[in-house]
Amino acid sequence: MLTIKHFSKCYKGGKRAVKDLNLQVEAGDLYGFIGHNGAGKTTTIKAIVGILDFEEGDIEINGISIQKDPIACKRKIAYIPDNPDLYEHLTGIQYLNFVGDIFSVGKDKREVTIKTYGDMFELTSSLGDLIQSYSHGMKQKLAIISALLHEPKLLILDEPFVGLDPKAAHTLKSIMKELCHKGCAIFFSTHVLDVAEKLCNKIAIIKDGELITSGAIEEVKGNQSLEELFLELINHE
Amino acid sequence: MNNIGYVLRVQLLSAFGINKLLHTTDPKEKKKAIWMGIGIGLLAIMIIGMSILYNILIAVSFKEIELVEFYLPMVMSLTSFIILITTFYKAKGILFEGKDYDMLLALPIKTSHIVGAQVLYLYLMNLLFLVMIMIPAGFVYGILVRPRGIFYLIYGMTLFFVPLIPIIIATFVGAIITMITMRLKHTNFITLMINVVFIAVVICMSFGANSISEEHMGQLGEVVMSAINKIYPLAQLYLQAVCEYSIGAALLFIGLSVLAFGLFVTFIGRKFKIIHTMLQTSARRSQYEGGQVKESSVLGALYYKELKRYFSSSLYVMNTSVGIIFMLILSVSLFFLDAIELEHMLGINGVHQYIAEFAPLIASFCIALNCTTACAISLEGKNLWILKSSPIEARTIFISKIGVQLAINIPAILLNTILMTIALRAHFMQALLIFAIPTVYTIFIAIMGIIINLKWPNLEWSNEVVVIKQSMATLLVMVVALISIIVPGVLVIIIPGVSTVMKLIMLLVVMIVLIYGAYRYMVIKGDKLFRDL
Repeated sequence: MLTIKHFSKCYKGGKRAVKDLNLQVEAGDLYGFIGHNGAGKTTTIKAIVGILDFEEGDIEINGISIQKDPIACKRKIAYIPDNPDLYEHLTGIQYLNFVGDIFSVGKDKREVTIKTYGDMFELTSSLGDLIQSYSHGMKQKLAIISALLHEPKLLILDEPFVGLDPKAAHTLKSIMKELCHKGCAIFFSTHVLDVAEKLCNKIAIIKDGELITSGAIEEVKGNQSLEELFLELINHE
Repeated sequence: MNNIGYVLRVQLLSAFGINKLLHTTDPKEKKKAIWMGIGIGLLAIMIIGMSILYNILIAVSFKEIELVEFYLPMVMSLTSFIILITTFYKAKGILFEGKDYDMLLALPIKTSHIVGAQVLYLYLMNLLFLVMIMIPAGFVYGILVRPRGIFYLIYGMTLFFVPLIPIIIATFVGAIITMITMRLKHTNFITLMINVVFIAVVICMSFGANSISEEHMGQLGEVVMSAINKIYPLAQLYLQAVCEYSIGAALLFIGLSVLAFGLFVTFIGRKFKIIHTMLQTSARRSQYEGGQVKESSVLGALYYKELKRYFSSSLYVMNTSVGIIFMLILSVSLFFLDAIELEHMLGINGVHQYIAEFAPLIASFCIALNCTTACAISLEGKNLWILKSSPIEARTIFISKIGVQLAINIPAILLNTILMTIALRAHFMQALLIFAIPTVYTIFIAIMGIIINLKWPNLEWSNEVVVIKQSMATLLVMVVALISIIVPGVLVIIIPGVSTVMKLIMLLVVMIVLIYGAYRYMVIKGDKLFRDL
């Protein structure tokens, strides 16, 4: 579903954010992407979803290069950033209609999806209000609902649990498991190692732009907890 | 430096992207900075050149009717009027809508100091008008009248206090409107309507003040002073100070300005937190129960989003429609006044014979300076990820933004065409040109706005005033607009042997070719520029 081949990214001024990253995410994977602050997680994620241009390596979604055919790739993915800056001048429902139109989601399907996830996140009654009046958590929930409208094949999330109340976080985890069960691939970054340990079947750990380890979570962490493994790798490399 | 200075310094660094340019290590960005400096320099030279020319025309007109002593008060009133209008619709944004206010209000800085810094920022921005208008006016007056040496002392002293009262009036009225409308439903729409009416009334009042009927020519001095006083009541005091060399009047003018400024800052400082809090908390009004799900095309969805964004900001609307308001008032004036009366209002002798011939260029001048796309990319700001991660061609995004410009300008151009055609009794070809030439200009400037904003974006802003009014892209688009109007305009005037209609048709053809070239560039290069954002 997602193939990252020798991806490297250097910012202006020579700062290397990611170096020679190779990763494979299959359909049905719930893949955790873990690293310290400034490790290169957000850079990688932004390159996957086509926000950041890059010169070295390639990223493919279902065999299609994000560089060569970004539109085709973006049709298959959905992205939720760590800080969901949404259009504050729109109401919640207007924003969902906007995203639905961009992904050509039919009206009937839209209604069902909005009702389902709006009720799950207890956001339905607020959809008529301006996003400007939403709290951070409400914006996060709206961004999640908008990402699910077009049934993406690959869901990319950057720190998805930040700002969510415990109930909403539990709801999101249920949704993620359900989507993976249906064949969707989910790739998300997180600092919350407990969540990654309980949720993910695969993980990758990145440090200073380089991949330290990746693979099935049980093989990677062995008998240790994920936290112990993470600290050991970060401190000793 | 005290707290006001610290806050003001941070504000100034964000204006025009100065701090980014100072600290960038990227050679491409440094090169851009040099080009920007050249662009700003060119614009400044053009504006000062036009100002000197206009000042000479007005001063000579006043000298011919032996009323040259009213020239500087009139220029001062005109400058104050311009400052009033331009400050009025950005006051709310600068004073109450800064995204860094949460951070500033949590710091140990008095609210009145935060407000003081914002008002000082407004003052410094308005000093540009002094440089562009009043300094050339003083220079022209000095040459024509050869006043005593003390004139230069008094003129210099009073110069820097001229913007204070107009800023106070503009921000006070803006603050009152904000306080009233923030409790109402459809706040933005009501604020916008009030702003438009206010600007239109002020423009009409200034036109009314400038018109002097035949029977009053005998008492011309009193009538002129009365007219100037209608625009700005302190003009009489200013005349005594500057033209009659009264130090007392100068000190009174300065004293009144400073006193009013101090009182105003204190008042706003006291009310600031209330207004800021009310603006930050939007009440939940609706209980959504479904039924508002609508379907649209991709372009339709983008266009709707752009229109909502445009009308959500009264500053954005006002900054891109003052030219339209002016154009429509002018064409309505033509409807009710003849060309000679209009000439009196504009204060330029002999202009009446040119109005009919060059109506398409006059309308184009008004329209070309209104560009919604010059900041449309920058205004995406932190929302840019939505478009960049969506399966949308960059070209479609650009077209949706250009669509807003056309939606605003084309109906105004159509209305203007009808009014001017009837008022000037234009024949079919002239009427066609009155419509066609401003239309091609609006399309051309819209495309150029996208290209220039892609090359000079500012996505990191805490106050939309910075991108709408003070960005490099906005300035450069203005330069392009002025050059694209003035150069052909001059050529149309000076080229002999061909009728004006034929010359305007040739201009139309040239503009269509330029539109095609600009569009191709936008589509081909724009895609890469958008991906690089």
